[in-house]
Amino acid sequence: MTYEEELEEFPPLGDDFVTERLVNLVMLLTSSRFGFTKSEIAARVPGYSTESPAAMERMFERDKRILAVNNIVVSEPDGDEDYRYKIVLNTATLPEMTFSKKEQAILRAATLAWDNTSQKADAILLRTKLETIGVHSDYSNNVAKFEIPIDLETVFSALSDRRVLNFEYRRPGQEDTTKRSLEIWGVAVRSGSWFIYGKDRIRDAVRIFNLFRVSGGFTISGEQNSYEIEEVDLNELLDPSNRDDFSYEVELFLESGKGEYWRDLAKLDESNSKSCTIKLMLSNPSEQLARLAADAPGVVVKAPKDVVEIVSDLVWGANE
Amino acid sequence: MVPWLSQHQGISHQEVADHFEITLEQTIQDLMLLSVTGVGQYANQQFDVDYTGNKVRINDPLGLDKPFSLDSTEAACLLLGLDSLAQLPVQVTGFESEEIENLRNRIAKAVPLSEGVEVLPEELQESEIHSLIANAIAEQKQISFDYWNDGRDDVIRRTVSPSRLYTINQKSRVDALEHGKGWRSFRLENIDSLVVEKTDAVFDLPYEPMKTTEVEIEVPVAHMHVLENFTVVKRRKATKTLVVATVRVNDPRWLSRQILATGCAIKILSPNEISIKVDDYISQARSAYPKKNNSK
Repeated sequence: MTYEEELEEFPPLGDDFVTERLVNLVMLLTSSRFGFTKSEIAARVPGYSTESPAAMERMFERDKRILAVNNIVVSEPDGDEDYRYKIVLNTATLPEMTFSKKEQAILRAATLAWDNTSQKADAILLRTKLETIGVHSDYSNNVAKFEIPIDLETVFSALSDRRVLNFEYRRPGQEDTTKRSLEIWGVAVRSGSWFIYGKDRIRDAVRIFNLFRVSGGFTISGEQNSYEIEEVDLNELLDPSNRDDFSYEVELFLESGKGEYWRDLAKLDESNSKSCTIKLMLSNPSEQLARLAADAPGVVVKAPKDVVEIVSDLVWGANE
Repeated sequence: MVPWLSQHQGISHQEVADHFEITLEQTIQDLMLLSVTGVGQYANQQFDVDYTGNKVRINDPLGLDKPFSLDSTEAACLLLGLDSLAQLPVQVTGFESEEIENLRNRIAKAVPLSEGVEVLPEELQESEIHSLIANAIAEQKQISFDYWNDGRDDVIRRTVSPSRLYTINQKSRVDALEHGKGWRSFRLENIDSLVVEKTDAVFDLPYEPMKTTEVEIEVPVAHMHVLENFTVVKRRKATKTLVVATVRVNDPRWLSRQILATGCAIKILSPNEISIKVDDYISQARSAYPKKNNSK
């Protein structure tokens, strides 16, 4: 499916006509216990009435999918031509809940974590919904924060609907991207890095991807609930040794007071910050080679020759 | 919006705009849209909303006085936010992880929260440091510690007045006033040999985030991914092969390290003093590796 087709399927909700039509549809389908037939819906919702029956049919099916993403489920027909569609308000709205003062503060703190991200607007709506069901707290201690430049809405929608997530991915240390189609099984955060994982349909294997290496955004394709989520050991999947299948042993010269990161890796005595030469294995070469270039001249690679050349190329390529 | 407005009858346009963090113009537009929306085309079938005279009043919410259930993004935001809080020490949040866990379970039963969304726990080695800093903040005492600045790769003993503890993506930080230097943000994982001093904390400067300089850089389109490492204020495509971006930088040494790590032709267009400093750092780095004829 092309980007244009995706856009056609899920138009931006900022479009006033779409929003108005969706709100009208929801209002109509929640207003009667008996529901409405397609022709009644077409007659009553202004956005549909101007379209041909075939166009109305497509638009209605698309609107139902958009509502489903928002957890508003329109009842599904059982083959009856005169099926009466409806939305059961009790199941579509947040239940009555009561929270202690402490719980209200916890819920507010959880929503504050998103204040610096592109998910801020979602967090404001979340806060508004919680407020409306009785979460009132002036807790303002912004202790947990996320920093993520990517809009996660599409990711969460694909995960929630079990649809396929498509994106271009750049592997560590590479400039070119490769196309990925992922049956997304989950989103995980660890040590400031964000990951998505699942089955890569193109490679027919379980893969994990760092969200910061996704290039150009996401699209969704395929039917809802088109795959099963399998259980995986996330710790194993995230282990750096499983993500890189090559390693180097390097010899480094560390200047006095420099190379704290490398001293730490080599488990040198913390009180000793004198000049020294160390040997260690690079566990994540693509990122550590870049660090070696950045650490010059306080840290210098002495061996092996090919690593010296890689780092030298980075240093001399910079700003040239 | 409708359930919230129903609970805040008579609220001003500006207060609505402030709450939803949208412009006043967008607020009026949304209210206009709301007033023509409903179950039919007759007046009594539409939301009865009065937004004249700078006050908003919903006279008939058409049964929509409760919010719709959380969508997948809102549910995931709540879940990740709760998970992240649960990972933090009680001294930072004021909440026991058990309290957060119980609340999460209650909500999960009532609201369809997303599966497969989680913050993975880490073995935080810094809980003792957390406690010491939290106590110093509570007792308003100064602290001293060795701090490894990985942007410059040096370790310096610091004495500061700590103000607040928080975490970003599970990286714990403390904001503190370093006397004579201004407000700084320190990563706890880079702190060592911390001591709580007997000296009282002094806050003789109002809190302000670390000062940054806006630097204009030129990046080859093929290397545009390096901008992920920067706070980008704006960017534009200058030519078919080059992008010009304005980025925030608080230390020229850090900028030079980013350029060295990418090994590509990132040029600093302005300001000139930053460009001179970065060139100097890069020259020093080059002195460690002899130039080859076939280097890039």
